[in-house]
Amino acid sequence: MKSLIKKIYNSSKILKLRNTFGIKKNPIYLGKLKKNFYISDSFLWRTDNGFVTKFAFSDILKYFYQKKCLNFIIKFYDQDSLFLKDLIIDPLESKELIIDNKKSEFKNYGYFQIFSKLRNGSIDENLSNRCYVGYSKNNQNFSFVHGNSYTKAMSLIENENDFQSNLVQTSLTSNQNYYIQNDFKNLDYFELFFINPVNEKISLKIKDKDKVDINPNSVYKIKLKNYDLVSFKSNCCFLRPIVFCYKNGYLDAHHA
Amino acid sequence: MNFFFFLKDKNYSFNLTIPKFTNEGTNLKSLNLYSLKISKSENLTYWHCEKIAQSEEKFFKIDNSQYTKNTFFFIASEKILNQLFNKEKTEIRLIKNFLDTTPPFRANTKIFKNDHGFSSYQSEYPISMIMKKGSIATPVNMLLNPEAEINKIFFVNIFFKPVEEKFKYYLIDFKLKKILYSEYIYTNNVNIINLDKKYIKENIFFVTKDYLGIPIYFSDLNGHLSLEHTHPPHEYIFGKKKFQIIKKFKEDFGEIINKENI
Repeated sequence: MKSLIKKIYNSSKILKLRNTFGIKKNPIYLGKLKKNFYISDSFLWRTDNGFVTKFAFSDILKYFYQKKCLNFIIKFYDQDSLFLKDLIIDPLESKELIIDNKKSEFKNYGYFQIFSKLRNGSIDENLSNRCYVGYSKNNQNFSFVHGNSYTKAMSLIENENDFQSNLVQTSLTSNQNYYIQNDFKNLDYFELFFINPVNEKISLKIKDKDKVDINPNSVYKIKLKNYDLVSFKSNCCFLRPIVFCYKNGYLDAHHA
Repeated sequence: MNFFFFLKDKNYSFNLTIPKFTNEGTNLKSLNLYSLKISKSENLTYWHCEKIAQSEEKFFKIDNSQYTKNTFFFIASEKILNQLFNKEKTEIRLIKNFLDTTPPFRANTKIFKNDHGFSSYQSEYPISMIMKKGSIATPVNMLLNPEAEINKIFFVNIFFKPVEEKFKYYLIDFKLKKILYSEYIYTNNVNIINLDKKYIKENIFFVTKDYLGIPIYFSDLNGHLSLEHTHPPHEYIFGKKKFQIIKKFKEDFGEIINKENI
């Protein structure tokens, strides 16, 4: 009986109502994942305007479980969530990856997700490789940010291809406020990159700007200047942009 | 409740921006900003706390030229302040349900180089971390740049007792099960660790055995800067046995340290 109530309480529709009316809000729900899922953020890559992206990840199965990883699977998408390619990386290879525009598919910007497969066996948990992404402009130093959300999960069992998405929750109305806790005054300008983490269209209203819709799993970029405080409203319960700040030709990337 | 800090290093400038609002937009203008540092009288070492006057509307701004190294900051009401310490101010007490937001209430910690670049990250030091001892193990290579002229780790520790106790950090090769380097650092300090690029490799971990803290990774290439922290291991695992798994992971490093220290 207790587990049935819990199941109803955490069902998608009830979660949506809870998040809409602010009753025990749960912006990210991982309860529907059984064991052996590898959860990824949607990490931003960009090659526009002289940018190169560096991705750094680690072999968490080796470190935490002393188990052998079969491979890492990195799935690349463009800004409209059009699938670009899978990159399969052997665990003995480098855990750093450079994304630049030398390869024709990486034009402009988009996102990628990382999953991993276990060589035989299983574990009793779910894992999330939080990872780090660096952004270099005009071949200068990489400005790093860490992974910040949980977007999609894939089974880490060798021959299973189960996926779970919509881990981030939405509400029925655009009543989810977020105020970035930083002062953007005195910058030349700054850019915000929002990656829609769910398989449905979401709305976004940034301060005095017009409301926009972001298509499922797509990237929305906006350039701003002359703001001190930036806030936005959405129906997405966990929407955190990556922030690129510019001043005198220097760059600072951080998550919001 | 969270504490905040600025970094300090002679070649760079730093500042700290603490918002007067939560990330959901709740106005916090009625709260005060306080500095916190260790003070000593003849018989007693205690926490010295001072209210800082601020005129800005939306943010509290702190610049490193105004304060000595190892000064920490927090925002609170008078009521919270009165609950925060024991009578002698020799201990910080755990405050629950104050500015506990999702994601956490954060400030912006920024580093500048004169006539060059800047970098920042959204920072906080949770009060729950202040109350505990513990160990950390985090990879060195992920956020540093072997091509940069300067790589550093700022290791921030805040402990509830006002003591500057010496303890060691280790650079350990997880694959070779070997300590590559170790040095003393201090509690209640923003410790600056200059890192040789030979240590920026896969399988090399920054490890402490006695105290928790936040390692913040910094690199400088031609005045273009990067500043970011790594995630603690418990953010990688979801399941009932997660703390057992992390304990075992950290014990592996503990064994390497114990073996080499014999």
